[in-house]
Amino acid sequence: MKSNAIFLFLASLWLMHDQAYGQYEYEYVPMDSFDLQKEILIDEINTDIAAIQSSLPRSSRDELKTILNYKAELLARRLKSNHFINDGELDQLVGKVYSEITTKNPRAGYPTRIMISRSPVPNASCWGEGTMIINLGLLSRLNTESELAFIMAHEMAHQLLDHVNEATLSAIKRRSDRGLKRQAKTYGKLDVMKEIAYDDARYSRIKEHEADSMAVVLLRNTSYQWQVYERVLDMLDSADYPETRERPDLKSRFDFSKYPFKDKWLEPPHSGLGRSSNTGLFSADSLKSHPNIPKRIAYVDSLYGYNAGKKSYDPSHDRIASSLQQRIDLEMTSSTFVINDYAKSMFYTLQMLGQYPENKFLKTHLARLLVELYLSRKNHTYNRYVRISNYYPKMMEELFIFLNNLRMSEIAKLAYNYINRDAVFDKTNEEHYFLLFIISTGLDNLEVSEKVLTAYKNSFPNGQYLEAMKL
Amino acid sequence: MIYKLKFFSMMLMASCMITCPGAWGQSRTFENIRRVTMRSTGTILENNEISGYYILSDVEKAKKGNRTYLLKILDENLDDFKTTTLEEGKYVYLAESAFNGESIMLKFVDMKEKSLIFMSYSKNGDLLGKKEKELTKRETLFYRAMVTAETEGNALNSIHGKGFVDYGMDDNAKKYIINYIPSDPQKKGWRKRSMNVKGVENAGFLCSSNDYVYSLVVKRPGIRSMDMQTAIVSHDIELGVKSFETDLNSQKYKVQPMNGYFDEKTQLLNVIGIFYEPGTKQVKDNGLGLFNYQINFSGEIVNEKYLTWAQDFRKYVQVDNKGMISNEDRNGFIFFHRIIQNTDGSIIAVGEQYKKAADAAGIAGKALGGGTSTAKVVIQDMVIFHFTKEFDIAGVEMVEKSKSGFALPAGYGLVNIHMLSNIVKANGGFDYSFTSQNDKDESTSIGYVDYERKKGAKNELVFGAITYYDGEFSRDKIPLGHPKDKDWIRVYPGKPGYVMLMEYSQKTKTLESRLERINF
Ligand SMILES: [Zn+2]
Repeated sequence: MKSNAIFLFLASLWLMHDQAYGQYEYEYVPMDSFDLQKEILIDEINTDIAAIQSSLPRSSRDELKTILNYKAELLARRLKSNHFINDGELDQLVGKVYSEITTKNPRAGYPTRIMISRSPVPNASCWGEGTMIINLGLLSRLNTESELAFIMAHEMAHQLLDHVNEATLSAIKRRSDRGLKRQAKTYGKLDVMKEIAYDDARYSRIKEHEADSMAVVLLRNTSYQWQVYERVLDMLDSADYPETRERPDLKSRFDFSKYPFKDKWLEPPHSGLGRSSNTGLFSADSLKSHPNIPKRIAYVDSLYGYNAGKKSYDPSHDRIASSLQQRIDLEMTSSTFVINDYAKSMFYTLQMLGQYPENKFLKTHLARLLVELYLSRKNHTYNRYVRISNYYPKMMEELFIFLNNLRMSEIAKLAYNYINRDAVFDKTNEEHYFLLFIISTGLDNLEVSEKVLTAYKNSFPNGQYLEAMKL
Repeated sequence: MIYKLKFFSMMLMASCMITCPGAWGQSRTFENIRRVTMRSTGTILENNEISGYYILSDVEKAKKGNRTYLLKILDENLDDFKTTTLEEGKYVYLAESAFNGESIMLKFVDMKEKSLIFMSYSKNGDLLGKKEKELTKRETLFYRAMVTAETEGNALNSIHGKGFVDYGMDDNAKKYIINYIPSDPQKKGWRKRSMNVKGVENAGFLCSSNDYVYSLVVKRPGIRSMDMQTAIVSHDIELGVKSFETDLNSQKYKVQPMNGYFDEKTQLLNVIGIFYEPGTKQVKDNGLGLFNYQINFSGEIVNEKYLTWAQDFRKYVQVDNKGMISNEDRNGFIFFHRIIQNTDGSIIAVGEQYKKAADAAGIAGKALGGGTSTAKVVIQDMVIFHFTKEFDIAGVEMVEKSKSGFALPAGYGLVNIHMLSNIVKANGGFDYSFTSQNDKDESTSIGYVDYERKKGAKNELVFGAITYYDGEFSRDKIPLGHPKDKDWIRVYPGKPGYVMLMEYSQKTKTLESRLERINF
């Protein structure tokens, strides 16, 4: 019976999917950043930080002040560089969950600012002064409001229990411990450094347990399914990109009749030393706070698990609208671009083009990416946008190798051949003229550049790119 | 050719390095730079190509008066490869390192114990073996000078897949020592000392084939004599048996070899250099031209080829009989930095044009009673010679750059120009930076630094790269001026086909290092 229910559930999912596809078949409008609100947010953050600073214990005030100032600076810098999304639909979702948790658990001290980061990393964070950040990469992995609610409740718990400031304070304390100097003398500086690092990790593991269990306490008073914790924690455990999604086929995407795909573009580079099997001075496992997911699940189980009458979690219960899920997936292409992660932006764009081959935004975005990659290679800033390493996320490895293997002229030729086709070039889109102009000029194909410029002037006599399109 | 990477001394100690956690995608950024003196930093080379970097820092006291050192090895992409600690004496420095495709060899020098410590690591970063070797008196002086000047030596060289050779001196620098250390600590190494009782013999690494290591030996009648004879000595890598010793001076000419490579296709050792009139006692100019000798496994010179300035090169460049090359309003001799065989078999000789000139600032100084020399060496254009695999001239590329001057120390005004060029080289006075070969691309890139004079704009320091690819030379430039929001950019050699850029911003106190492809 059970399997039947799952089948029906899956079938209904597919129906919903179809509706969502329809909406984005041809268009997508990227989500906004904050505009004037940026300054207001920065002021708020500074005010909150100043309030904490003034109430600090005298003993550790100076050091903690510096750390808090650094936090404020970092948040301000990210706000200014459009690191955060300002979107009504996302705000509504997050706001709904926020008010459900807070109204059903009335008390003071909840985070006051919730911001959606463009980061593709599936994570959320609590900054201690009232800011809570949820990454777009995390939202893209969620299926239900309950899942979001658990994550938000967990971060709220960190704030309610004042974990962040407490953790910083105790870390400072551990480092300035008088016994430490004596200890360093006896056991050596490195041993003490190791000990401190382990202590920090141990401390944060304890705090994670506390936040998990408080999250369940908060959720139990709401209409959400508190039993969701196992699923959410499992998801955090698979930190790599979900293998269930398809890897884009580079060969078919970049194979043009006038410029065929070269297999050597996919050959891994020679690396003398190769991958390291032995990097850390400290044992990595005992240093991470998140990886110990099974232990975290077991801990919450021991408090609220089957003995306490745990019911199973029903993933069909409070699903996030599939149209919003699709929007979030599409937004990953644009958000990673805004934060200068061009390789990942291309990964998501190719993946989405597999789903929506006729989406105009995606086509333009791929053209834009290719031209930007060409320009950054020319200006010797490429590796700011495309990392070079022997360690890539597994799903993305092929794309990273491809992008790093390409020579400047090859990127230009791929860009040219991609844009200069009826299937892609859109005569009604100004940007397409501009991109084709840049790339044909880069390839010294001035005849084409001139044609493009003339056509552009004819169609858009007051075009916004006229200034930038000069031969 | 080895490069000192001083920038590492600006980085924080390994334990304090902060890699921006959120921005996984990008280059490494080191924040909150504090000045920390590094014990040693440098590149890990395999066959002149960078496969990684090392940083050795002194951390703390250890037992028995020793120190604990933190050794960090980064891979070619600047990712952490291995971090470990060592306990050694207080005066231990990392002198040189090499990689042979299988293992990393680190050569430390202990200035107090007067010994070398060789430590080899596997590709997994595990310690394979440790060997100590006492330094001779002369070697102690040599390494002391090296540590003080913070330069890297080139005595340690890798033999692909087999081991390493290290060159030393004995008998007050009158005798050479060749030391072979296999990668596998279970295998036996060997040590050879020059057997000649008379005269002075010094040796350095030339190249290796599958089975033999070839060393270039310079022989002089006495320690102060300038009358040099050269020979190639070949040793069986596994056994250490000398398979031949061939004197290079022929009946016709006196020669000064500059570089060598083993050609896999012809199975012949190639030696390239400058040739002079027979009987020339002291080298003063660029001689009569360039030669190429091909030597078989028995040590016989089976092919001799001579290209003269007076006839052969004159078809390609304006050159006088002694090798002084003129272009537009410039002329000068050529200093050869490196000779390298391309993947297509053709050969590139990387040269830089230089000449002696009066130093205006020096003259003014002297008039005011200063003691500086009134001579300087003017460094001019890059000159790249391209030869076919048969050592015929395929072309000469002149790459124009701004003149730069190298002021000579007092008393050097009368030294001959050829000697001066070696002083300029030893003091890093040339603009040439490095040559790197990318086998995968089948390209060879030559890097140099230039101060570009611009019309209507501020003069600017640029890094230039000349790349040979698919039979042609092309150029790329990276401006090193003051980019937006940054205080400086520096360029260091990177893995083949790449440079490493470091950008520093005083405002945000961040040092960003990243690899960038050389465009061609
Ligand atoms: Zn947490």
